[in-house]
Amino acid sequence: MKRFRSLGRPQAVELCRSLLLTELSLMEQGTLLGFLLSFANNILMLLVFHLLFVNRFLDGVPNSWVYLLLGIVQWNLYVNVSLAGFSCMVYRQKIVMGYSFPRELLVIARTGAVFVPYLVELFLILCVARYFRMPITWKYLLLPVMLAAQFLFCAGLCSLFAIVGVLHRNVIPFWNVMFRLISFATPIFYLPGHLGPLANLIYSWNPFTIYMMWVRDIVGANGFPIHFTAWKIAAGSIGVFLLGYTAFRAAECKIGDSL
Amino acid sequence: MSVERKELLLARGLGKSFSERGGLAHTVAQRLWRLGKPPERVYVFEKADFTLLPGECVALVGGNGSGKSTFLRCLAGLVEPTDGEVLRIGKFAALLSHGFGAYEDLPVSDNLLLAQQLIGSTLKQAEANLEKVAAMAELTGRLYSPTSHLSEGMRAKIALCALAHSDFQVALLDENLNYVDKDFRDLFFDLTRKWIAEGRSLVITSHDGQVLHKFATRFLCLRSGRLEEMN
Repeated sequence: MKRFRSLGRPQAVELCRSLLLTELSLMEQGTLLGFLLSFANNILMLLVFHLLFVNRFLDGVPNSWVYLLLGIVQWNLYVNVSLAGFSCMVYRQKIVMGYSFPRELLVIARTGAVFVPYLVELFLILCVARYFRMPITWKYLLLPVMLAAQFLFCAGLCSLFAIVGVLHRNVIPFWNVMFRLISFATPIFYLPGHLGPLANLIYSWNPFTIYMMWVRDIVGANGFPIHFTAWKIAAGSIGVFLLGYTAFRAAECKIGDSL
Repeated sequence: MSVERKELLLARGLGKSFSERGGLAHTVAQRLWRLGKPPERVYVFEKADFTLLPGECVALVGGNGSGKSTFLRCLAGLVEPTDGEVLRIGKFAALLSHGFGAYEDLPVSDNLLLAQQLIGSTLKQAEANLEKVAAMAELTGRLYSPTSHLSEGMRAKIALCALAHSDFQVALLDENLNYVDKDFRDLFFDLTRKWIAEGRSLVITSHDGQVLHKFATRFLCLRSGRLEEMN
């Protein structure tokens, strides 16, 4: 608990910020062109998905392209979080084994480095949605809550992935297969409402689906109601964060042994 | 474990062992075959007692693979000891595994700012000391060049200069002095004497005890897994 509280100290916050800025400057070579190219990747996926799936699965959904684009951007966030988590201790081995500092700051910084481009992408989508006169409703007030909850969820996941990335590297290929399966069980390019009640139940408990539908609900491009209230999702996110943090702290010294 | 005097670092019955089985290289069949059998453990060192008082400079010597770095990592809390416990009091700075320059693609200045923060300086202090550290490490003109251009010796030198500008109480150094030239080593010896006079403490490892003879106040040797006091 003492260690957890120490993360809020100004020096720890400052170190986390420096690590975040360093990680960000390395992403996409730290250039605008790099960011634009990675965003172009989302647009390309949107075009392909639009051609393949909109008529088949999203027929009648208002602003289906916003629905699709939000799904793609959200899913890319989870992919990037898993990649960042698996690699964060191994790639930064020199720091992790060279200095004595709270290593969870590095995990939080890596999550932040993945989250910042996501925020920029989300902002761009919201601007375009506004340009096409999609209404701004009171639900936009929930956007900061959704983002904070999602950051905690991602940081918790990243902590768990960081442990796996060092101590159980041999399960990463298995996770890749599972992740691919989960991607099909997440409504990125289709409406889960078209499926049966059992499938809907599964979808409603898939955390990736919950965030994806929540952000779509806020922007007004939903085709399926979210099953949980905001505070329940936020509480779940805090739970995932604490689970990840506790597991990371428990495994931290073993990480030192393995690196 | 209680602190009796003004110890900055206290370790009792410290031991570190590694399991002979396990790890990624072992197949599932190998693991199943050995299931139920007690793991074979190899001790790097065991039953080590260690105390560090203010104003001490402890030289830890030993041959390759004797466990000096592992011992230092246990003291720094980077790895968990198998036996015993460590009590740390005061502000710690650990420079292990020649950690400077983790971000090879970034300029030296960025890595230097980060390194200073990682050894306990605030960002404000790190920024204020940037030029001083660069001047001390004779880096002027190369502060903004890529870190990948630096030699091992330069990296060790920069890390030590960053340490010289931090306000640590205890510093743990793992063979950092082996890489630097004689002039810098002499400069570092003078600094160490000053730190000892101020009541700060250091633990330094080296293969070569002669290097540390000029300023170490106490010598310890790791031999066959035992920590021994040397005269």
